[in-house]
Amino acid sequence: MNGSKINIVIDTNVIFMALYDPTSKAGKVINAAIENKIELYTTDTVQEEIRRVLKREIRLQDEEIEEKIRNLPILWIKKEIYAEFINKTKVKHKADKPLEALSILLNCGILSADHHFKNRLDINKFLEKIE
Amino acid sequence: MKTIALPEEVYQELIELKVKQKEKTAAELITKLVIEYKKKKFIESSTIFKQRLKERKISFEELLKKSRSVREEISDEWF
Repeated sequence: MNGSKINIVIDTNVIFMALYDPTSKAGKVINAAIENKIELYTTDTVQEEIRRVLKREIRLQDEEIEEKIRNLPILWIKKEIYAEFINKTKVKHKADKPLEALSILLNCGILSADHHFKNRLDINKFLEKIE
Repeated sequence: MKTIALPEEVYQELIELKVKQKEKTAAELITKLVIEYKKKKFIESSTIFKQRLKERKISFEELLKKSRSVREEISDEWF
């Protein structure tokens, strides 16, 4: 989707890790996106997951949630765009298929704390590459 | 290139800062200011997130587990 920057698909758990500790490796990934060194993408399912968790567990108001989501340096991709790649995914778990489908569409790796993605990136190696 | 109108005092502050920070152009300075602003907003989100987790007595591990089950729920609803 962009010519020069590294594209990455980011999972919810990495986004929450960054929010929990902005100085963590996950936080460094978010900072790299803010500094325009990389381009972070994720699915509308991840956005909805964040929205529901922030509402139910963190008890944020709808406006606060939308503000937090808006401030994340992430491009949110709608189901209509990646849906046709879902049948090309290898991950067994149905709920993880959208993320893998998006990574196939963008031809890039996934940053996730879940190890079952075949094209999962090692966050240490990734950070070495961009720093 | 685009043009924006600034009040005189804001323009003066911007130019002073550009000189102090030894930036070549105002655009370079503004780019850096925007990055710092976004970082600040992210830190603010993080502070609220951690504070609320603490208030609600939810561990981070628990939150990730709950997030996982929300993912299942969305998957069942959307696909």
